[in-house]
Amino acid sequence: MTSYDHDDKFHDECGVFACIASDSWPTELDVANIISLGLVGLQHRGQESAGIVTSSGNVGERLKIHKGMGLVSHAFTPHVLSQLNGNLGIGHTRYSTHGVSELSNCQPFVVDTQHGRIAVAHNGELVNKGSLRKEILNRGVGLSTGSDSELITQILCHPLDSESKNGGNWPGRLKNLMQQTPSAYSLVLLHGDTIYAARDPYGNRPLCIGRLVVHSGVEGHCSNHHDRHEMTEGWVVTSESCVFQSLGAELVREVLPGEIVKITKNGPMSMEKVPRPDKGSRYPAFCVFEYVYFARPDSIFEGQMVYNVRRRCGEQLAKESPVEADIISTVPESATPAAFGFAKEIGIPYDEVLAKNRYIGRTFIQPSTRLRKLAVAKKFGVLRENVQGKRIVVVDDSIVRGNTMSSIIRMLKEGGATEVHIRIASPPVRNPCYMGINIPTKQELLANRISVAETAKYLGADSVAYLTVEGLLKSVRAGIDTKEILYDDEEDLQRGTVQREPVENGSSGCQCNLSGCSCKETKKNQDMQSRQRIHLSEVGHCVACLTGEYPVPLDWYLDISYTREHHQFITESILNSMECLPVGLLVELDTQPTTENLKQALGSLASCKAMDKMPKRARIPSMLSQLKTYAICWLRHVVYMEDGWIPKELIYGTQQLETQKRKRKAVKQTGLHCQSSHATFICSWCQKGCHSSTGLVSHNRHCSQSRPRSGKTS
Amino acid sequence: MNMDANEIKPCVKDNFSKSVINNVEVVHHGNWLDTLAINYTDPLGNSRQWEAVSCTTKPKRQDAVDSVEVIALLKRNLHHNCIVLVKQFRPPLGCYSIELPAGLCDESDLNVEATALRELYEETGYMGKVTKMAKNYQPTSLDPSTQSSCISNVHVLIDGDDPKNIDCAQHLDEGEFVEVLLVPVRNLLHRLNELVTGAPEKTIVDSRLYALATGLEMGLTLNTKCKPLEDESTLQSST
Repeated sequence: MTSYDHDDKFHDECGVFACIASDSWPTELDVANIISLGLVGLQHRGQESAGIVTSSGNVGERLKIHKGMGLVSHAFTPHVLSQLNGNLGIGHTRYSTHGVSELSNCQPFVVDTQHGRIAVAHNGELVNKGSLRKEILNRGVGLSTGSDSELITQILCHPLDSESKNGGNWPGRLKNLMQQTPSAYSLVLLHGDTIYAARDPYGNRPLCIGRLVVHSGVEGHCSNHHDRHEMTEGWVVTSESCVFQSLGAELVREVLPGEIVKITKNGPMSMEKVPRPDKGSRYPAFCVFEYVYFARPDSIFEGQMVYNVRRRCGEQLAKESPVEADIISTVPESATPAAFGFAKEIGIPYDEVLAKNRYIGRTFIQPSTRLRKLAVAKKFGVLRENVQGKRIVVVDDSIVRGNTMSSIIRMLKEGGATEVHIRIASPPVRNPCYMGINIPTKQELLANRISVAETAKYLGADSVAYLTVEGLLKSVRAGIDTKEILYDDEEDLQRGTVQREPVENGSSGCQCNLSGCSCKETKKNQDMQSRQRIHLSEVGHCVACLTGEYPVPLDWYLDISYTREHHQFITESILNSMECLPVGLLVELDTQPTTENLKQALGSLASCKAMDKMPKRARIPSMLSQLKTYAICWLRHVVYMEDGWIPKELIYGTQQLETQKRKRKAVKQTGLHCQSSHATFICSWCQKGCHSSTGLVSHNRHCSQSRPRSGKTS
Repeated sequence: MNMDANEIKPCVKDNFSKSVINNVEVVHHGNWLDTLAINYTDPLGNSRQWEAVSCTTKPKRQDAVDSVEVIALLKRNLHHNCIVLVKQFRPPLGCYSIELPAGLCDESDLNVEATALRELYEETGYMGKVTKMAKNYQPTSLDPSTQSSCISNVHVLIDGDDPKNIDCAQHLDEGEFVEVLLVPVRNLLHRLNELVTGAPEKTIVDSRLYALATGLEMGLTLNTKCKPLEDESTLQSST
């Protein structure tokens, strides 16, 4: 059960940061302080805990580790930071995932390997962690947590055949990791005096490299790249480039999808680029929600500023669903760029209608609906004079559950607004994310419960419109400069420069990378500064939570959704692209399952080519006549049942599993955790519905049409 | 055992009298140093002579000291605080010496602080600001057994982010060859030892600097209760 958050948004899970000093060691650079400042800049990606690991660079010496719960400034006091002195280090901020927050689960993970200690910090979640976990356990390795970090470090500890005893081939091990799991992770690895940065082949989570420069307030600027290199004080790797300004660093470039970069005190060097696996999308899948909501507006991805993408989304939204109104407004603060874009496009002035109390933080309360509504009211206040007698359009970047929005609409109407129209600068979210975004259970997502047409009435607004997926992708891609890559990776990474095309009018443009440089071509170069040319084959965004088409082959559990609105089974493509043999099937329905809709759901499956891949006992068509009991859950860890009896591996939850007691019981019976709470059971013989697992078991015992249970599978 | 009261001897001599200087004779007058022969009476009344040297350049002001020593901290954003040291060849030792920047007081200097900032600027190129630490500028003796020179310690803070303190040049007199060393304060003693053992030519650390470094270490290990730094906000970094 996800803890209720004070805002109605998704939450990303982590931010990573790494720093290495490039002057002579022991460095004068205060590396620990730099890392903590970097993490503060990434605080919006995670506030639950933070961890920093630093090293002197000698493999034999111990690593200095400190992890703490809470904000970075709380966990890392100046006293603590003075103990963390080192020449290089990595850091991590974490958002709360499910379950108890434990210090042992906090990253970076530090393990001893045969070649010394390594520290790993990553952002993202492995899509095939189930099978990976099994594989590792089969190797004889014991796992102590359920986290992905442990899986990653275990895979990295595994020696390669090609290695000698003398030194670990860390790029090789990273490549091995990337080949075993296609998505989604952006990780930094610290070993000895080197930092490795790696991004998954689909580039789902962001990662970029920056250079720390000496303040050059001196007149003029460096005239050539050699000088620039001389002024470098260190190198940093981070999830988002917004931190660079506070450190006096500048963006060099992003780590490309599938790339492994090795960074020593002499600078970064691109080691390898792991291609995407054959099964799965040809294109990268950068999480589009980074643009929509997660990233800070001043971060730069794919050569464009996040703020501008959001603004273009607002403009596109205005083109797609215009409306007559008096003022355009926004829910502070993340939707402001979209609202500006909307206002500009539609020609209606922008004005504020809500005041935000920025001191309302995360609450860990699991409140009732009433308390939740009150909490929302605490966070915002209505600017009555702006609202009185006006028709208002409120632009927000996303809607998750809809409770925040309905409270806001109510407040605005009570404040005197005549009409309230809602425009959402992103398409409705319907599907789970397996790459690391914590999307609430399906039933909680507004778009799944209520059709778009009915949403306005449900929220109490006069009209509601979402951005279309095509519109979103168009806005996102408009700013990406897609031509041939101009620079030679390795050399340029080593020098930290990007060559540019000569300026068209024939004069030689300024070659420096310095932002705000004082030469005559200043403005032009400032534009070029943030532009990074990307090859067409490297442009791709993951919109799986919106469309249901996942870029990566998912693990052995699969869910098929039958959505009320679309009446289609949106995972046939997934089935066709599945890599592994599915061991289980999870059938999920929006409504109470009946014979009819189950048959329908399975019927289309039967015609699917992928069915041939399935093991015999799992073949559904042959068993359609004897309907099985299905666990219907919004979960990733579910298997289906076989004909007639409930295997022990089944995970299920009862509908409205609100009480802890029931949840614990379900956990005890299955030994696995249930993330969601919505499920219904059908007796396989009489098709009677039931709300609890125990109820079903007792029903089965004396079901009127039961047959003797066989231990065999058919 | 009973002790007779008369047998207890006092610890302090009753007839302890002060030493008195009778006259000072300049034996040799040099450009910078005068060699002196000091005739004085010791506490027991005997006449004795002591050989010493003194600076010829000492200003005539009442509270003047011969020279000033600068304890300068370079503070830069996201860097450890560094202490500014100088290294130069010292003929009396016959080898290199690592010291705090120091210099003789000039007639043109208004006060001790002016000397400190001037010397720092000349020897290292940094322009600093005097802090409130130890501001009484009490004269302290350099070498009481051989010279009459007194020195004052001035604490200076250098803002390393100020453009005039980046890539600054020294302004040395002719004949002065000074190398500037920046050593992080957090590990001063260790680094001084490294500088001596690792130097290609013979190097000795100045005793006052060494005492400062040792004092910093003792402050950490003995965990003595330190007086809060007066200018704490400006000195704050991680160390």
